[in-house]
Amino acid sequence: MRALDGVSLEIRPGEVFGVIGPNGAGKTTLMGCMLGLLRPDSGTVAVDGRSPDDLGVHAITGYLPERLMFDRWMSGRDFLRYHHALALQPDAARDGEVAGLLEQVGLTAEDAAKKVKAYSRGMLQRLGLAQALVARPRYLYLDEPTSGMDPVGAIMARRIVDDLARRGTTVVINSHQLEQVERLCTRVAFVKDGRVESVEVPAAGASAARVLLIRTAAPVPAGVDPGRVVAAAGGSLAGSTETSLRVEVPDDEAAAKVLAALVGAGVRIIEAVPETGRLERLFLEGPGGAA
Amino acid sequence: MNWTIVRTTLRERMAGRGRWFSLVILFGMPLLWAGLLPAGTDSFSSMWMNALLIWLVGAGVIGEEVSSGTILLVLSRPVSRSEYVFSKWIALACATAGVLAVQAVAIAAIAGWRGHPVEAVALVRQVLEAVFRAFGASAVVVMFSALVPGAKEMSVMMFTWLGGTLLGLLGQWKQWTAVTLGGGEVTSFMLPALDLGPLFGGGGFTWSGPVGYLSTVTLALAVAVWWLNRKELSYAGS
Amino acid sequence: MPDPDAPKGSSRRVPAILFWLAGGLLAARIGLRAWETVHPVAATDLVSWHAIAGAEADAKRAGRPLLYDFTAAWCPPCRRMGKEVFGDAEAAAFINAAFVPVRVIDRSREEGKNPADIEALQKKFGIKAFPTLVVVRPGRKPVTLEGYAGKAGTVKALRDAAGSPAGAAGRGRR
Repeated sequence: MRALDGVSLEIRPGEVFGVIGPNGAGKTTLMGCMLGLLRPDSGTVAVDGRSPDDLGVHAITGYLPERLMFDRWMSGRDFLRYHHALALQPDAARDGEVAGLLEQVGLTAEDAAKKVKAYSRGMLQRLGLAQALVARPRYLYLDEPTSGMDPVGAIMARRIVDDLARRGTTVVINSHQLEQVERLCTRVAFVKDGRVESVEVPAAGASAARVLLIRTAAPVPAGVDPGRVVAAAGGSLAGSTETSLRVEVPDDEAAAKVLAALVGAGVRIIEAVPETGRLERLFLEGPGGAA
Repeated sequence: MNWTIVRTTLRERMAGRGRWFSLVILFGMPLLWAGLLPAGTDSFSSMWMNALLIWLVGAGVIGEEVSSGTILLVLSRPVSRSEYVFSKWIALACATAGVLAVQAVAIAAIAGWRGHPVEAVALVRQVLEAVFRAFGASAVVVMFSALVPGAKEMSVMMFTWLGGTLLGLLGQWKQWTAVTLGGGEVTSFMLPALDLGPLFGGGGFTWSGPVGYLSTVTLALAVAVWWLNRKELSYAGS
Repeated sequence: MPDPDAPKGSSRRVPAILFWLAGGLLAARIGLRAWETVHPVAATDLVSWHAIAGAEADAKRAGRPLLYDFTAAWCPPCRRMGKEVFGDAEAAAFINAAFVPVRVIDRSREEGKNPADIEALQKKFGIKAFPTLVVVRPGRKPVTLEGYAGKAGTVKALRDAAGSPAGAAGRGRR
């Protein structure tokens, strides 16, 4: 049974790369290959030109596995200290850096002193994130990083990833939380049945090309062809219903022109928002998404 | 050699309560015998008890990390798999060598208190032989632990040793030399030991002693490294 | 840019020297075993073995029990006993002093059958396996020790077997 088949991806430095897909699609296997824990039957994996087996690559890699399997007999702090040492971080900085990480992920000193076997799911997730960050990684792999975390924790995790991305860390995230992925990731691969079906670019900054969902109070007036109006203003109509229009626009300029043009043509616009749920669509319809 | 792993393994081995109980019994029984049995019985702690102690302390030293999945994170660090195997061996060997050495000294002390002192030279020899036994059996435990998940390698080892003994008996009964030798090789692999008699003036030195011992240790470690190198680590399910 | 201080090498790197040693030593071990089987090592035997013929007379004259060591060249525990007990200075001295030791080496494997005297002795004491030690004291049942019970066990058993009928003289160190 092939877990992955014909996967070919290039992840650019500093990207936050999302991997989504149904259960059993091969996402974890893919991450295992990227980390060098699994070796592909054919093909190669290269991290910064080096094999993922390379110890130098391990030294700048952080990994948060989906199944949080940590040494249960250790305290949270001891566990972090253990991995700090394994990651060849300087002894002198250990106490300080571990304390800093614990604070960053929201584990109190009291929590840190408890044995891992007494940790709740959310605490384990936080500890796992801390452990992934311990080597100040340039490559961070997060497998379901916010699963089991409360909303506060999820926000904390998002902030950490944002921060790292800004500092140039390359992050790969496996997640079922499509909203998070859409918010965080520069590109997203949709994996199904062991193949990469598509690589999407979620709406990134304000000036990027995006799809606007325009809700109207009433159907478009008779005699008005919304497609032509939109096209004349520099956009393109991707779909319409009685009370909404899906319009693709290349940038802010075009968006402004399109909205003005529609209003001028008598369309009663209630609101125009960037479309979300594009990723969700992939699960239901496949890449491209029928309107 | 990774001292972080050595230190952590030592701490981890001391953390299991069930293990402490069995350890205390295996450590204490020979001391009890030394105190109660008629003097002159000069081997209160037989090789088998030593082996049992080493096997017990070492049960699951790698296997538990594999089955619990904690090995995944360790090997995602800049730690080579061979370094990992070596460190586990050293940790286990040092721990058990220490315990057995203390036991030998304690037995000698008790024998002395009962009026049958052990010669210093004999004691030194016992301690050294115990240390060699510790390093040897630890290598074998590490090998089985790398091959067998969980802590089940204890039963695999017992069966293997039993198999070797039975083979030996069968060979002797049927007078099949090859089978007898085969059985002997299996048992001597399971319990590698170095007879230091020749060093202490007993004569009768043969090369097969040290060669066999070193062969067992290097072979066990090589198999463990080779197996772990090939092992694909994952828990894919999403 | 790779950092010069960074760890190098693959996480699956193979310590070649270990594998060479393992392979070489394994070959040496097998070779030595084969060699030893074909050329049985004459253990440095410190026991003064008497010849079978005349041993009984020697024993009667000396007033010491007979100690028969039924052994065979191909038998590994026999070799171990030879090394550890008969090759040990203290044990050998005790044996020489307390017994008239006689070595009965089975040749049936190498030569097809045993010489008559060996055959007779094996039958007399019902020898089924090697090594077997038999202590014969006049007027008493022979004490048989089958198999090699380790150095301490063997020495203790011999001491007990050699012990005088009067009480605990056979126990404890001398």
